[in-house]
Amino acid sequence: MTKWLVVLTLLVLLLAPFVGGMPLGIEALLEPTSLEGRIFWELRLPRVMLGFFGGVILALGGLIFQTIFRNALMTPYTLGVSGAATLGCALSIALGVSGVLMGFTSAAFSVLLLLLLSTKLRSAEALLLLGIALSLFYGAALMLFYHFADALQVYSLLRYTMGSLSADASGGLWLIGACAAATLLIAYAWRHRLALLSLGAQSAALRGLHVKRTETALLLLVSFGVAALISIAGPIGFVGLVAPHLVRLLYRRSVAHLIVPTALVGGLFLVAADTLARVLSGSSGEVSVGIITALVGTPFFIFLVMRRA
Amino acid sequence: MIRLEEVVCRLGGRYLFGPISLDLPPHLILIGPNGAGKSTLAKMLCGLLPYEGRIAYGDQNLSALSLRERAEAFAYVPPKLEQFDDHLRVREFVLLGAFAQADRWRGFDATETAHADEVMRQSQIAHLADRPLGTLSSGEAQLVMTAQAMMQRSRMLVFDEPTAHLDPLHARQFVHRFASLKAAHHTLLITHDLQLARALGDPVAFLGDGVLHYFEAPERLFTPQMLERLYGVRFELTPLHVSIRYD
Repeated sequence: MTKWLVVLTLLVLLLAPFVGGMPLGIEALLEPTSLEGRIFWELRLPRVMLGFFGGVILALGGLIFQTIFRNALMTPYTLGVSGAATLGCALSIALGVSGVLMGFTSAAFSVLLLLLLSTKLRSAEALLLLGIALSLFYGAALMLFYHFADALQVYSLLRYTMGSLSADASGGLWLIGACAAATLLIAYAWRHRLALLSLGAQSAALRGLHVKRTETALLLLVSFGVAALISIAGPIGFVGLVAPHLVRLLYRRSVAHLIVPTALVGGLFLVAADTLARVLSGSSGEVSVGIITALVGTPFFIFLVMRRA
Repeated sequence: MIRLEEVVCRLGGRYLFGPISLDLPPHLILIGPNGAGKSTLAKMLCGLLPYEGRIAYGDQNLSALSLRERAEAFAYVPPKLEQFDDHLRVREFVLLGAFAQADRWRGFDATETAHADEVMRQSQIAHLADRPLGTLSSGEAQLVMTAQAMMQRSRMLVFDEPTAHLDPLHARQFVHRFASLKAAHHTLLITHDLQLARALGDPVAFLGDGVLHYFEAPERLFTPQMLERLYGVRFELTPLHVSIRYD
């Protein structure tokens, strides 16, 4: 099945740049200096690649969070890590400092707080509630920030927090690509550690795994990738929830076998959502990709909760 | 040789047992009332819980061993299989027992995979190799967990209430497997089943009220007077109308 997923991914990556508010023909591919060619090579292709790499980061982030916290609803988004990174990135706009740095610092703080508190909490459900509370807290802090910002700042922040891949991706594409590659390589190399973690922290420690060290390294890795993506594209929810569960339903295998397919499905999902966002562009501009992922992801989230119940 | 020297256990500041001093025999059965700390003692040995005092493992201090060294020293088999991933297959689960010996980056090689197949064959669970863990019965799960412990190649196997969830047939199957494992491993078996403890014939330790009573000759324990003294209820040692024959 993975082979077909690879073929589908290549096909979508090849075709997606042709689709958008202004449809492009095959000549765009062959004449890079023409207007259509420049749109293809300088705008659409980097954007599609940013979407794909971003989807890989978010999907693997979801899979890793669900494995470490042993709960199907855990993702960087539901546990407030994305909220923390968004707040950090928004603050960086006001302070004029690096969005990646501020976003990562906030996300890392939130992850370490979750790790610390998870040892005190008795159930994954309690941790999920804590994550929701943290998300609300970061949301409120962002609102406070809006309150003191001027109208222009509020507008740009509002657009930013909707999550969009329309920003000039050329600068951050390499960073997001590197983060996606690192997350995929480390998750794959550590697939047996992830399988051990899925059995429970105690069981993993009994087999000789440094549980806290492994969990911290993986969570910080995901946090950095998510924060880097948020600093460029804003928060994009539900990819980390939809992709791993869709792959679980299709493959019915352990986490060690889900890493590559989850990365591919995550990338595909975000590219497809962003392509739809481009097609749905109107007089008020493009629909943010975060809106599309949320519209698809929320019913899926409800389906998951109902299935668990 | 494992030696407990003045070992005291406190969990969350609450005193549980100790001080305990004992040279563990190669095979030991640990009994005692609920909440006495039997599983806690086993988990302390396996490095999961802190303790006061000293536990010597050969000429080394147990607390100085790395996690991998501990995994090579002790394999803990819990009373029940706790799986969070329903789709994990039996072969993968057994193979994960060899994590301490696996390459940090490359994972398991062909030798380990072949060894896992051999362990499953010996454990008579080869037919379960591709079954997801979530579909196993309690008896099958016990055999699978034991196979994973064997894969760990630990010196000592620690079984925590292994027959608690088993029907008589699977309990008997476990006892046969346990007897064959004793040739290659040291064992510590925790149980509430006095009939099983008596049938195995190994030295027995009773943990209760914070004190460990050791019976090198188990027949000294299995008298109505001694059992009544330790458990605080009256016992009658008569053949049961219906009892499992473990032979």
